[in-house]
Amino acid sequence: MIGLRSKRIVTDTVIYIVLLLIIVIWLFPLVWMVLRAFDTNGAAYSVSIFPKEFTFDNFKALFSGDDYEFFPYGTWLVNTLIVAVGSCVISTLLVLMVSFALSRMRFKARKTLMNIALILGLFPGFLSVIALYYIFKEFELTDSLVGLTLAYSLASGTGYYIVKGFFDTVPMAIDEAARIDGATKNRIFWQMIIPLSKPIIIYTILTSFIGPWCDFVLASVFMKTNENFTIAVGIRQWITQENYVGTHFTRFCAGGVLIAVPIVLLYIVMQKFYVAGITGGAAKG
Amino acid sequence: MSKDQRSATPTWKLYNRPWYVKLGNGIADYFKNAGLMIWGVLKAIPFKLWALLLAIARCFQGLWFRFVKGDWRTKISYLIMGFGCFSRSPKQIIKGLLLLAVEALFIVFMIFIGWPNLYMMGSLGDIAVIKKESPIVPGLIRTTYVDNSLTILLFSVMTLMFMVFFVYMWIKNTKIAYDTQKLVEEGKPLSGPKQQLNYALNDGYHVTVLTLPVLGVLVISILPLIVNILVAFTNYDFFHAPPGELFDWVGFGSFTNVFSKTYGSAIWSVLGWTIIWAVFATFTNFFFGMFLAMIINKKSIKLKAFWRTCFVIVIAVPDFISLMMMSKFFSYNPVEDFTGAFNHMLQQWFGLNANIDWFGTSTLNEWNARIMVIVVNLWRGMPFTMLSTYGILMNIPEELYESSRIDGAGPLRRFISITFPYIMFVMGPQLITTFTGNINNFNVIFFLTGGGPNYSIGNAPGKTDLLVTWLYKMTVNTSQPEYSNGAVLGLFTFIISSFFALIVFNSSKSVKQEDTFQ
Repeated sequence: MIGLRSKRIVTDTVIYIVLLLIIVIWLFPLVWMVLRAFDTNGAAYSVSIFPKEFTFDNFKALFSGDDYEFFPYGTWLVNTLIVAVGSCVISTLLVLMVSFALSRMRFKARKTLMNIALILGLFPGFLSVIALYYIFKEFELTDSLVGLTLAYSLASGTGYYIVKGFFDTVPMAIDEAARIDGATKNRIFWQMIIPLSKPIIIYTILTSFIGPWCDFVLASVFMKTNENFTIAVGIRQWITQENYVGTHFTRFCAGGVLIAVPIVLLYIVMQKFYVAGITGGAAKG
Repeated sequence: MSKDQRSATPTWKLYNRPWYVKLGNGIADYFKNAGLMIWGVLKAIPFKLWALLLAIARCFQGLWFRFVKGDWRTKISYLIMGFGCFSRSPKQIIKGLLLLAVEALFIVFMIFIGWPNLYMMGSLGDIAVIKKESPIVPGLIRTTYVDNSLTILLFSVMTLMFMVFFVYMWIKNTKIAYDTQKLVEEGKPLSGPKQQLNYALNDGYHVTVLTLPVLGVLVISILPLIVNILVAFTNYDFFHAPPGELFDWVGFGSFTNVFSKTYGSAIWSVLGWTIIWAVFATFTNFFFGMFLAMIINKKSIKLKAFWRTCFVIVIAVPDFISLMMMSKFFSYNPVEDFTGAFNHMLQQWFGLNANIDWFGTSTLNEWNARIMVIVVNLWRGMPFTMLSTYGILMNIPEELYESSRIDGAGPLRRFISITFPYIMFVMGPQLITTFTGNINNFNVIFFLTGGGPNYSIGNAPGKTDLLVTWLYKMTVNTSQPEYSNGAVLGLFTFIISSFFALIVFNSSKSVKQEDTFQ
């Protein structure tokens, strides 16, 4: 028995070492970026890998740098927040409405609609972004926060999958009882199903907030003036301009850390939902 | 048993075969099923067309029938929508007026926007711009833009969509008129505004809640798709960009541009790399994530939540930040003082006299760059598969392992016979979705290498360009955009991804059916 036990201890130690090693490799670049955000030496190619002196100046410079008019980080941040919150509200409502209709009601076009949504969802949205840009341009909705918000959120009804799966688990008997008591479908939706589905609604809100917050492609096609940029488009200028990379790389790091922190916190909080969401959706096919 | 459930080789026949035979057989079955699926779709097309024709015929029959049987109010409804409602009873006034409003709006739209654009759809405009010089002040030129090919194209498509909607409403209107007539003839009460509202909140609630989402999908997904397809058949590019210039229909001109004339065989090498990339990106993530999930899930390992959270941090950082950071972390400069942090690290910590051009930016070493994007993608994407595999592992019933242990199965045997099949069962469809996602994985390539290393100038693809990043380069990130060629490229990508999308569609369907049989 002692032999078996010591063998297990050896395997476990090996596993711990492997895990630690992998985690160090995986986290090292991020740690590097966070530390560089506090560095006094701004160059991207500095010989010292970690900062020699620490400072908060990089964070202050984001909001009041010498060239704030050219790179208004604060404005980008507010833009991103407006777009993300706006499209989060619209997407969540649309997804909830579609899920309710597909889960609680039976009508002629139901199967067809579900199949179309499934097929549309499999195609990457990026392919028709250019055409979308010209459609929005006709209505003067490009280079505007409203337009970008609508472009992110209006088609989100096709992502009903996980929420519908959750609604399906709420027993139909509740609906029937409410029907007998004279409640309309509308009332059942708002006053019964939604309060019962809080966890999945929180999951939907978070994912539909994170999507626009982290997106680059659509924003880069839609937004043309610096004051309308979102963070992703704005901050990219600091990486593509050699002057900036040479002397102010730390500002990119500071800006990146600032935008990443809320998302990291959100992810850690919703880790449980995330695992449940993926596997739940997968198991239902 | 449903006829859709196809299983080429019965499982019991494979029971005693080695695992690689099973795996090979599984893969063969998979593609066979995919082929059958596509063949099934193609075979169904003539029947669907016939069914469509029948439906249209029935529709006309109904229209005629209702016209003949209808009284004068119903007959007038064919011309003035909603007349059958508001002329019969004050209760139906609102309903009737709404129908009338649809007709009025449609007519106004057609007169001012619809018809003028649709009329020019064939030519896409005749005069782009009129320039007039002032007769008194020489050199003072007044420019007036006249026809805009793009506006014409867009509004023509929109008009066609509106026309379809209007015809639907018109047919619906004749039905409503006839049904109302019937109700009056039979002496039954007509529904008032209150009942109609009640219908919208009860039995017809799906119409109420689905209208807005469906409209959104039509505008954001389907309309651009149609426009994109149409643009592929024009010569819309930098030199034919409205306003100021017109573009025109050129048939398959842009197709020959992309596939041979302008870019030679570049598209095939891009496609080849896209597939290689997608295969490696998907499978490195899958196997490494599975391995990691399994060792974290091992019973005797403590602090499971902590290990998991560490990896969650990596995926939680928005990818545009972490990828741009990585592009500078591995950056390269021939002058050693100005090379990136990773090269410095190799020199200072490991004493290597190395200055490696990781992304091949100046040495133009394409395989350096290609391997690096796959490695960085592993860094970025592995935690996703780790998390989802972890979720699946927790769901595997413990009894399976216990009974196999009693039967004397070792760890490897248990993995091959229980863990792996279980993971594949759940992850199989998701794996192909990931594969399609990787074919269109814009961010990793764009932020790390920007498609480079690049031998050529202009809009030609670089050595790590995927189809989508090339599309972006051709249409957005360039001084001389080629929209029609981009549209062709987009269509091509669309067809490639739809091939895999069909397989997912097929397999997710079969999973659903298995559920019902269990």
